[in-house]
Amino acid sequence: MNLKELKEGDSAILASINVGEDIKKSLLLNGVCIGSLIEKNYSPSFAKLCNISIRGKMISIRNHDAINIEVVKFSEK
Amino acid sequence: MKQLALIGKPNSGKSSLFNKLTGLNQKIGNYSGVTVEKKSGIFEGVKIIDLPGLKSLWVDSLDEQISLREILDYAETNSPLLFVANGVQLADSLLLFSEIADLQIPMILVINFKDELKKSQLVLDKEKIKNHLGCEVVLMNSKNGEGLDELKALIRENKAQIPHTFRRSQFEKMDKNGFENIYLKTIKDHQNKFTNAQYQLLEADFSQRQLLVSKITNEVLKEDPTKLDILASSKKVDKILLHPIWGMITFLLVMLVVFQSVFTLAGIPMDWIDQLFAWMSEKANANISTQWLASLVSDGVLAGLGGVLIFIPQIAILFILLGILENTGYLSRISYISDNFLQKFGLSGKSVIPLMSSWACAIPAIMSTRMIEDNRERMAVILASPLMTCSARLPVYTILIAVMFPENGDGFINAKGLMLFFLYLLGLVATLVVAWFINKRSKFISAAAWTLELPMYRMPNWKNVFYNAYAKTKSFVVSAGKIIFLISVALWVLASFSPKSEEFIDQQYESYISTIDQNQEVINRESIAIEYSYAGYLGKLIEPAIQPLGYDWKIGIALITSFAAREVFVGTLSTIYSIGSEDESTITERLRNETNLKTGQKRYNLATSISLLLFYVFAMQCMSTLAIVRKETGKWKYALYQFIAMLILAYCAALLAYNIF
Ligand SMILES: Nc1nc2c(ncn2[C@@H]2O[C@H](COP(=O)(O)OP(=O)(O)OP(=O)(O)O)[C@@H](O)[C@H]2O)c(=O)[nH]1
Ligand SMILES: [Mg+2]
Repeated sequence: MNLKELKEGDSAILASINVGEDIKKSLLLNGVCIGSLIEKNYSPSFAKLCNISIRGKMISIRNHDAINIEVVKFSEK
Repeated sequence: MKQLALIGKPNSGKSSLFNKLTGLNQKIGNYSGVTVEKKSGIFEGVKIIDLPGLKSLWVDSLDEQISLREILDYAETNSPLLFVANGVQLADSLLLFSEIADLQIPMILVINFKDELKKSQLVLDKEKIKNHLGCEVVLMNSKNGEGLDELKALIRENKAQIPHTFRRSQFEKMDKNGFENIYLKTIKDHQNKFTNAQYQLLEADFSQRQLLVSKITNEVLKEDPTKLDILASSKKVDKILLHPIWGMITFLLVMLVVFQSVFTLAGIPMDWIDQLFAWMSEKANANISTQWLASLVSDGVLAGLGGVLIFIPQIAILFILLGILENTGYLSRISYISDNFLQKFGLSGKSVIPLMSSWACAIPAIMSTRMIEDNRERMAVILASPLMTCSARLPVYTILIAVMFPENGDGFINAKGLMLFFLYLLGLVATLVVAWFINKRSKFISAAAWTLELPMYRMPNWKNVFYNAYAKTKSFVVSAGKIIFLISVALWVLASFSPKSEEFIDQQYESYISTIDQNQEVINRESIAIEYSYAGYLGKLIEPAIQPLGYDWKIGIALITSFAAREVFVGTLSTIYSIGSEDESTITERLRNETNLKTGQKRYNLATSISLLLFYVFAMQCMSTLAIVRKETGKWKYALYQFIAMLILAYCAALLAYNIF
C-alpha cells in the first residue's frame, strides 16, 4: 500500500521511500524517513497533494511522490 | 557579548522574540550577493540578528544556506547563538539543537510557546533539561513576553555556554596527523547535490540523533506528548479551508479582500499624498520668485518625493495583510490550493500572492516574492509580474479607449468595458507565458524538492505584523526611493532645459503666433518650450524609430517622460497640446481632433490607439519597478534585461497592431 492509498485518519509506518534524492532529503529534513510513524490527514483530490502529520507537524507531499512511498498500516481511525 | 544570533526551526518564534528584544530598533538589509533578508537590531548594545528558520544543518533552501553560513562563521569565531525551540514540538527542535551543539558553539536555549505547553498539559522539568544539555535554558512565551526578563539577564551576564555534544565523537578520524574531528568539514563539504552515500550517512546520523533526543524528551516531559493530538483543531479547520467548494470560496474571498485593499483602500491615502504634493508645489510656485528654482522644487524635487511616497500605502497594506495571512497559517493553505494550477506554468502555489498583488502594483508584489523559496520560480515571478495590468496603466488605458470609442457606450457590457477586460486578460496571459518561458530557459537552480509544511492555525501576532510591514516600507523608501528620486529629477532636467536660449523660444513662440489664422487652435508658450527642450529633441530623435508604430515626436516625448511612471503620459500630453487641464474629457476631445500633418488624417486613429495601448501593456514604463527589481535581485543586470526584453515585446506588439489595423 502506498501513502496516497492510505485512508484519512489512519496511521502507518513508512516502509520504503522511492522518490528522487532531492525529495528524499527534503522529507528527511522534515523528519520523515523509513520507520517514521505518520497519520494521513484530509487530502482533497483536486489539489493533487497528500497531507500527513508527523511528530506534531503537518506536511504535504505531491501525489506523484506519495505513490512511491510504501507504508504499512499501523492503526485505523 | 557583542552580538547574538537567533536560530531555530521555522515558525519557532524567533522573529517574535527578536521584536521583543529590539522593538523598533531594527533594520532589514540583504546578505551580500544574495537576496535573503538580513534583519538586525540592537538590545542594550548587543547586536541581535534574526536568522531565517533552519530545518537542519544539512540544508535545503537558499534561506537555510544563509543561516548555515552564519552558523559556520560562529563556529569559527565562538560568537554565541540563541536557540529558539518550539516547546510543543520539543523533540523536533532538539534534533536541530543537537546538530548545532556538535559544532561546539556557545548557546542559550529558549523553550518557547510556554502558553501552549500549558494548554496541552505538558510539564517540563527545566533543571533536568539544563543538566542534559549543559547550557542555560529559559522557558518563555515570546508572544506576550513572559520569561523575557530572565532571558535579558542571561544576555547581560553573558551566560552563553558550549553545550554537551551529542554525536560529535562519531566524527573523530585518525590519519597521519593524529586525531581530527571531521564534523564541521563534513557539513561544509556537503554540496547541494545530494548523493546516495550522503543520504545514507545522513539517515544513519539522523536516526541516532532521534533516539538520543527522544530519550531526553521522555525524561524531561512529565506527559507523553504523542498521546495528545495538538493538531486536532487545525485538522478540523483544514477540512473546511481545503475543501474543494468551501475552501475555494474562502480562497476567492480572501484574494478579493487582499486585491481590493491594495487597489481601493490604498487609493484613499494615495489621493491624500497626491493632493498634499499638489498643494506643496502650488505653494512653491507661488512663493519662490526665481522661476527655474520654483520649477526645480515643484516639478523636480516634490514630484520625485511624491513619486516615492505614493507607494507607501500599497506596500504597507499588502505587507500587513500578508503578515496576517502568514501568521495565522492561511498563507500555506493558499499555496496548497493553487499549487496544481500554477504547476502548469512551472510555478507553484507560493506565487499566487505576488501575482495577484501585481494587479494593483508590481512594487509590493515584487517585494513579496521573498516568500517563494525556490529561486528559479522567484526570478520568473519577479521578471514576469510587471506585465500584469497594474493600477498606473489605468489612466492611460482610460484616455486611449475613450479616444478609440467616441460614442458613449452604455449598458453594463459595452465596447469600452470589453476593451479594458481584454487588456487585463492580455496582461495576465502574457505574465503566465513569460513566467513559463523563463522557468524553462533560466539557469537558476531550482529546489525541485517540493514539500509544504502546513503550520497550525494561530491568532496573528499583531506586533510582528506591524513591525514587519514597517521595516519593509522603510527599506523601500530608503533604498529604492533614492533611485526613483534621482531619475525623477533627471527627467525634470530633460523636460525643463533646452540647448536653445530663452530668447530663441520666445522668438519661436512669437513667430508661431503671427502665422496662425483665427480658426486654428492656439498653443501656449509651454508647448513650444517643451518642443525645444532636451526631452523634445529626444522625442524628435526617436521619431524615426517610433514612426512605424504610428507615433510622432509628441508621443515620443510622452513615452520618454512616462518612463517615470505610466500615468505621467496623460500629464505630458496635456502639456504638449497646451490643454491646461488633466480632465479626461478635455484631453480625449483634444486628442481626437489632432491631425497627422503628413497624411491629413486623424493622429489618434484606431491603428495608432491600439498600437499605443499594446505598447503600454508590454513596456516597462516604470522606473520604480526597475529600482525594486534591482534591489530584490541584487543586480542592475536583471532590471536592465527586463527593461529591454519588455521594450522589444512592446515594440513588436505595437508594430504588428499598427500594421493590421
Ligand atoms: N501562542 C504562542 N504563539 C507564539 C509564541 N511565540 C511565537 N508565536 C507565534 O508563532 C508564529 C511564528 O512566530 P515567528 O516569530 O514568526 O516565528 P519565526 O521563528 O520567526 O519563523 P520563521 O522566520 O518563519 O522561521 C507567530 O504567529 C507567532 O505569533 C508563543 O510563545 N506562544
Ligand atoms: Mg522569522
